[in-house]
Amino acid sequence: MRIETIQMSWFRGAADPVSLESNCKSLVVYGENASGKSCFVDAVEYVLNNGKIGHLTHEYSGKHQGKAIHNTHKPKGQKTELRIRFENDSELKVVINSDGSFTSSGAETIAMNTWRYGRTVLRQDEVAAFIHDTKGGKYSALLPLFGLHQLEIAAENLRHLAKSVEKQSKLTEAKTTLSRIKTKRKETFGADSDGQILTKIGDLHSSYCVDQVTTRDALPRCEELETAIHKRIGQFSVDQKRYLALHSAGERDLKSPLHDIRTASVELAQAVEPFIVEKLEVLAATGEFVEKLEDKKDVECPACGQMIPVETFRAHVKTEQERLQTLRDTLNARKTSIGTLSDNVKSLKSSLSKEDVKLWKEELSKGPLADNLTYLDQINAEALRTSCEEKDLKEIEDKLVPLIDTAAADSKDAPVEVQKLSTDKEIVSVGKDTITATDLAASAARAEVLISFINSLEQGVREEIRLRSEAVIGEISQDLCDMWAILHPDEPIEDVRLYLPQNTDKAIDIGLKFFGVKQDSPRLTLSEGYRNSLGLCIFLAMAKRESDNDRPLILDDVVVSFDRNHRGMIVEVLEKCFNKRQVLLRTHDREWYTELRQQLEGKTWGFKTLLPYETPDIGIRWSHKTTTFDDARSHLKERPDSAGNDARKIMDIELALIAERLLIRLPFMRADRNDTRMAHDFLERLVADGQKCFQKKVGTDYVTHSDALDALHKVDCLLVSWANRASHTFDVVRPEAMKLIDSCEKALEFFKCTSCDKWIWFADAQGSEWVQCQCGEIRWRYGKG
Amino acid sequence: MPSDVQWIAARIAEARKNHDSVTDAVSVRMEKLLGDELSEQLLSTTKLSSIAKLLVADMVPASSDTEAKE
Repeated sequence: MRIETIQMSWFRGAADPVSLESNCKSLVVYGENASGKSCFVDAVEYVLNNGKIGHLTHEYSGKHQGKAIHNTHKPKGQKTELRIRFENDSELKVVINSDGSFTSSGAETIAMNTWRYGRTVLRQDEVAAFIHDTKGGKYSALLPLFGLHQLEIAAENLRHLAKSVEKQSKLTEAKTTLSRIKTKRKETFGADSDGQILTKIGDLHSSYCVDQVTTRDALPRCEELETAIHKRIGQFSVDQKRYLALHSAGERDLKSPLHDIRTASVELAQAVEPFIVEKLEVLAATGEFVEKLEDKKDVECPACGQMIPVETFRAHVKTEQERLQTLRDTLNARKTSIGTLSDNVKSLKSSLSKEDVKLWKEELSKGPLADNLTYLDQINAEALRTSCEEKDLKEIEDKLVPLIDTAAADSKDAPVEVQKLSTDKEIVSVGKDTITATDLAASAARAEVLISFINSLEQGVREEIRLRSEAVIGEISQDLCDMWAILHPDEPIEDVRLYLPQNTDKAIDIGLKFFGVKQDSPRLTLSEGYRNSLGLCIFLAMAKRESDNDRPLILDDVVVSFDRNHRGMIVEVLEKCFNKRQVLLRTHDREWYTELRQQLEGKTWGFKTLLPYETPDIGIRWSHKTTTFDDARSHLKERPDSAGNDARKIMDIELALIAERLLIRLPFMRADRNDTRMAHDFLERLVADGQKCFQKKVGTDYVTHSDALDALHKVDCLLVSWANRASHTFDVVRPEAMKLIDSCEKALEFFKCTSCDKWIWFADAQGSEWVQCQCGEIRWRYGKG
Repeated sequence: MPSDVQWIAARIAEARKNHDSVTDAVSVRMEKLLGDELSEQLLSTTKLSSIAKLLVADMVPASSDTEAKE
């Protein structure tokens, strides 16, 4: 979809409506600095980026953008508006509010906000941005071209799904519970196997549940055992019950978990503080660090500041990860010990809250352990799991351990049957937990397999992304290589291509051969000019990839750092690769503009020049000419000498290109003076050669084009006298400068046919000897001067 | 992609080679998800949680599976 016009009112530098009219052709716009060329690009960017302009980000974005969007001298009552008309006659109208926000209407059939700015517009300061971006940034920039959006989404969803499964299956909690049960099992059963534990449960079942043979399953057996033991306890005497409760309380082990928690806490305290300090330093340096990893073999370690090889750094990172894992293990051990402590405190509370030990507690409450009993009543054992500090441990140690010791001492002489029943009760309880843990362990294992399965799918999707990316990258690289070869023929930089670095996801870089040596990044060897050239090629290669979209390409002053040789080849790239796309070129380079005006086909290209900017209330204005003489005219009022000097400079450029086109033979000059010939040198030869070579058609015959030669001679005289004065003594007056400019412009017009509007070198005529305009009204004979 | 049914099926079959305890129910559900919701847009935590819950339930072998294995 081609753009027909871009019209701006009071937007940026524009005042009353000013339109860029392309007639749906490609267009070259010339304007000196600050003439308003980029305002048209800003207008397109504003529309494409939903009311944002990149170079106004930060302090002049959002609600402050209004300050930069409107012309500073916009009269009250005037609206800031943009109108973009397309080749199908639809028009997008954007009205911009005082705060920089906007409302848009029209052009419903053209979803202009779906055009990607980065594929449509390339500005001078963005040319090398892709090259300087990180590998991840390059990847993100290219990703939409790969058409892998769905795969990327799938990979990301799978990554989050794996975490969600971990959370949903309570895997971490299950592992903590299993660890706690394992500890209790070891305390109760030592190294007994599952079979041996089941045998013990079976034996106890035979002993306590003589009449019950209903089941051989372990868990129901445990439940039957618990009922039977409970029943047996119910038949105990008061003394036996007291012994049992005290024995059970005395069996509680608080000392081990207290010790384990403290040990883990000390280890954590010793390790965590310096670790956190180091991690903060690492995090602070991460951004810079990642940058350095991309291109260098050595990096500065953010922790120690030493230069180290990347491989060493990776080993360093691995060590840090292992340290982190050790810390996590210690944290988990501490959590398990806290769980054990909580369980044991709960059991102790349960044992000593029984009616059977009421008298024992009454006796105790009269002595020094009264506070200890009060503490036992008040402690919330479950709350320890979420908060367990040293003061809690100290209180448990001071208050509960003496109670356990007393209970153990007072139950030491318990009758044998009570001791045995207490032990059996514990075996059944832990045995039941162990049997239950089998299911929990199976559930945890299933969750782990599921997570691993999902991770494996994610890896598969990422691998597919890589494969498909490589294919697309291969195609883009081929275009990149071809364009580079056009811009830089026979140069020692070759095989320029994009590639996916190994062992890194979501990353792309640019490789090339520099004097035959393979380089992993253009930043290693390329000069700024070459990087810009490469940046332009990459933009164009990516834009070409979207050629089906048929959207315009807007290139804003992108050849600033190109020298004449390379700049000249850009036309070839555009004509070869983008002859069916609309290209809107903007330049402040007069010489290049003149070249383009002479080289590009008028059927598909238009040329426009902006007048120099005067004041905000006058705004951006077009020149009626396609030449750049209006630049010179803009100085007539204040500085006629500058006007005269500009006219001479324009003639230097225009005539050099005409002389080149007409194969004018010039005497050889020493050193680099061949490249610095001036208008007079060319005019002298053109007038001399023109006597034999410059002809116009009169009737059916050709005669010497004396009008043109007179005009050229006359302008040569004016340049020698007035233009030289303008350059050297600055004493040219306004009428003189005005006459000089008009004469220069008129003289150049003789090289373009007034009938067919084509240059005199438009076509070969009569073999290779003559060139002529399209209709043959004017012609030039090569090399016959 | 993931509208590419055969590609998804092949991916899942490949991943199952190293995860033989993954059930058919998980495979079927994952195949449908990859061809549908998981590839359309980034899902919310709530949505992912509900999918995760279903997958966790799918991982429990059906009694016929258990019997078959036994």
